Amino acid sequence: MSKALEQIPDVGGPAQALLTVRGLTKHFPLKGGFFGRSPGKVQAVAGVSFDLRKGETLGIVGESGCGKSTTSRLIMALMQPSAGEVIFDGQSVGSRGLTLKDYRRQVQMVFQDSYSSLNPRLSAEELIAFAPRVHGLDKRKSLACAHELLAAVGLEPSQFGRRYPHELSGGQRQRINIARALALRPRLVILDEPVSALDKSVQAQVLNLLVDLKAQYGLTYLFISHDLNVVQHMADRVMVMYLGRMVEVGPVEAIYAGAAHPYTRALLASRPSMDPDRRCIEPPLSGDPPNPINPPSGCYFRTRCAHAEPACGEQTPVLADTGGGHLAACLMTQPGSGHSRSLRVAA
Amino acid sequence: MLLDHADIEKTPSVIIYLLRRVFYVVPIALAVSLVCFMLVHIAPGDPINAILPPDAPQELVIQVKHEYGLDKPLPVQFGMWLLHVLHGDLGRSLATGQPVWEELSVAVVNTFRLAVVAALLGFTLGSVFGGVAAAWRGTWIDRCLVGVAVTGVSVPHYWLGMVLVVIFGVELNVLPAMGAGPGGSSDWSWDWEHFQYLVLPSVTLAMIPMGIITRTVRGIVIEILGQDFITTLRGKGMLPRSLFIHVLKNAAPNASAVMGLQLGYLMGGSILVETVFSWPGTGFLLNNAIFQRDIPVLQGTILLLALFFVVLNLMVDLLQTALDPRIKRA
Amino acid sequence: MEPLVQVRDLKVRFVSKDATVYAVNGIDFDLAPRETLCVLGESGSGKSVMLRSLMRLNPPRPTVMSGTMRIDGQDVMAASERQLADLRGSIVSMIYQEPMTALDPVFKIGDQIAETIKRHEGTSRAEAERRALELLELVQIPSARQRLAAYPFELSGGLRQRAIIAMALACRPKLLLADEPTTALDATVQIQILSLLRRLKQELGMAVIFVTHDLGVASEIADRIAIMYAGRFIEEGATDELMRGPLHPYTQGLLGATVHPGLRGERLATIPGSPPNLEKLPQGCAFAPRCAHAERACLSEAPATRRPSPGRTARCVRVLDAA
Repeated sequence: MSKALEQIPDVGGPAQALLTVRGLTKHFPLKGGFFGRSPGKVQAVAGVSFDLRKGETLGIVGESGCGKSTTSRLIMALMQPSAGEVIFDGQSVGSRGLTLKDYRRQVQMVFQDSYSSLNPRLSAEELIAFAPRVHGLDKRKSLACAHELLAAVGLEPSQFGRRYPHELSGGQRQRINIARALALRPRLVILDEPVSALDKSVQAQVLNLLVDLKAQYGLTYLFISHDLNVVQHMADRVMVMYLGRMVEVGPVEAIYAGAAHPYTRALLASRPSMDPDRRCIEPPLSGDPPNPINPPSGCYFRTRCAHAEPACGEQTPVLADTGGGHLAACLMTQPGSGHSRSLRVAA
Repeated sequence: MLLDHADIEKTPSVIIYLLRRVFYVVPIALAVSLVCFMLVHIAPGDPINAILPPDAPQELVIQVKHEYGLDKPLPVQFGMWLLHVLHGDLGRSLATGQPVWEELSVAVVNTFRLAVVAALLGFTLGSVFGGVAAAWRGTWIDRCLVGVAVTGVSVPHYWLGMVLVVIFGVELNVLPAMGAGPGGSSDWSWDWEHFQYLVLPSVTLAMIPMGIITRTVRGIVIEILGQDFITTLRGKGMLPRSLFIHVLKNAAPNASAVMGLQLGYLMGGSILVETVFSWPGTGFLLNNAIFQRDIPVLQGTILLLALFFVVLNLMVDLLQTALDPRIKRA
Repeated sequence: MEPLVQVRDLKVRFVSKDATVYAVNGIDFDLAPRETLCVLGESGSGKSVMLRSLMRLNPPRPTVMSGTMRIDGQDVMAASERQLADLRGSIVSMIYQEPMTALDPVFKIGDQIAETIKRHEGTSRAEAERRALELLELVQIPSARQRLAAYPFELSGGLRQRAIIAMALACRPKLLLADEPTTALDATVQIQILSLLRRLKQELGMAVIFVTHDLGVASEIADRIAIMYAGRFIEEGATDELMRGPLHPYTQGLLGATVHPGLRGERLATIPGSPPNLEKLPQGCAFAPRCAHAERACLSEAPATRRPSPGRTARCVRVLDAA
């Protein structure tokens, strides 16, 4: 096996976080404005900061418009952040120590729409062999690598290698996407709603596959999804986003058993119950998320929060530790914040 | 993710949009005039030949040239013409000596008459053909109508004009072959005596718009009929006439944009058709001016046409905005 | 009491030059008034086609239907175009999966609701508009009066879906057909819409046939669930009975494969393979190629419907009829 197909070895050691994101922010300017009047802007991602440890799976959850997909694209360096930085294994992305090309070899992405992510004119093996070829591997070895990966994702190479995307089912296409992401032996794989478009029975197959591949190839996962049950199953830690901001982050058990932020609690309570005797009587949340162009002052969630008080509009809550690596951005969890319920939380 | 608690903001952005578009008219008209001016002067042929016979004495040539300002350098000639235009003076025709403005205004009216009749004919036929073809998509009706549309667009219209003249004007002798009727173009009324002169040229001229509109409307209606809301309408029991209104309103913005532009082209005057039928419109005027190198007439006509097209585009955009609530006004 | 909906041996196929798609292959069921039936199936099960067939809403040219359907005593199969148009929107109404595209983009919401009322009840314009406002308030759209004059693109997905529900309920239908109406919505909005539908069906006394691929959604809203696979109902029963004791191997597989809390660290049970191609249906049980318990009898012909207990059916050779 040539050098191009080996996983780039660890640089920072086990204590170094694989990915560190600090203050990541992205604005999209609005069209319009006339004669110098400045248009508004949409704040898609605002001040996202987190660490991703080696070998863990971090889940990012939130509803549409929360900024999770934009965050993933910022981390993947598919767009430039308006502010903030991304540090991979101790080195800043795009700096001299870590060029974009080196970075892309170590970080790969799998998207939600399995059909539009694949070039319809290339066969399965060609799609997977593409990246190794670009990185200098010769044709024969690239194809061999592609066949090996096809087998690894559960598709028989002799049967599926020459098929085109339109000849494959959704689940099979998603497996091709995963195989393609692994072709350069990355260390981090960003999975942006990888199973959301699949049927439930196929979803289970792909999730099992992802778990197996993680162990087999020594991967770290960033798993983005709107499906809380899937994230609970897959992730070690979970991050919750709302309108571009992080509202809660922590170990999966801690959050799912006792979420600190009211939005997280509402999100968890919005899951349809599988038990017909325990149906949801009253929806936990009413209305729709506010306008991202003109968000509320202070805490973005206060317009829908049952516990909102004037203090919530005056200050923006920051992520603060509530114990055991479980952080939440809510005045109720921070003693001395001015919220009437924060006094009870004091240890 | 769109507005729900916030009220829907409505700024007077239509006015801003209008001002901006009007603002753009000036540089466009200027650029068009300049390009036209340069093209005319690159073309071989000396305008002086329109005024004086080829064997005129040299001193007379120089004198006439000086009078018409044809001996000055080109930028100066252009500058002078521009100055006059800003004062509303388009100059005089080199060939006839008449003020360009008078000749133009008569010609424009004639072209408009022809264009409007041709447009009405072409658009009506085109919309009906296109709509029917879309509703009966895939059947022989569809194929027939598309065939008619393709024929309309492909047939050279000057050839068609001549054929029609031969059949109706000569062989059958039911319609006049040329001209704009008794009394020339200045004495028009919408009676059969005059209208018969319009029939052949407008049918000829309507062919291309008919073909284009048929295919355009067919495409638009097919796309609309494939959308989900049509299923919703059927699903709530709406009758075919309601469906027709819904499709009509959805098709109107794009269809009228195309129609507006087609009308614009028609009004620009078809040199070929007007020449075949000797219809005294702007196309006919331009044709003669080109052959005679009649620069003032050329410049004046093209300037007017350019301004006309710009205003037309603006109106079409506004119409489309008015009909389709989704297009942002700013 | 005569059932509101009676379907016998419904078969629907789409015929074109290239291939024939056998979307629905023999469906029988009854639906009582005020009852909610959830049809659960994955992509390629034919569930959406079946739902649309109840109103004969499939594209007319390629569709070939057979069997009988009676809704509110009317023979839908034999109905003329005009009779169908009278039925749709007044006795039976439908709500759709994609709120973003289900409404006409160039007409206001209020007008689209009002036109339904005028069409079926011949009311005046003013009266229809008044009722449209009432309907928007019924579905809990905030600032209802302003929303009447709004265009669809000015509303979010959740609000659009509420408007679509309002439109469907405009003439107080007896039967509501819901084609995955919450699939395209966020979780917090989905539960609001489900809750709204539950309340409305109670208030208006409607029967509902709700198509979905999500077991959780079915569990929240259904009185009975029918599992659909390759164009057939392979299992049917009351919601709690079916969820707690699935009989058909496919249902068991679906329940096992659904990710729910408590599975962390374990491999999810999967159903091998993928759903069958509706153009080439196998001769026997359509699920046999993927079934761990398949026998020879499964391959020769599709299993007949077995009734192991009242209100329960399953099309599987392993399920025995009640003695």
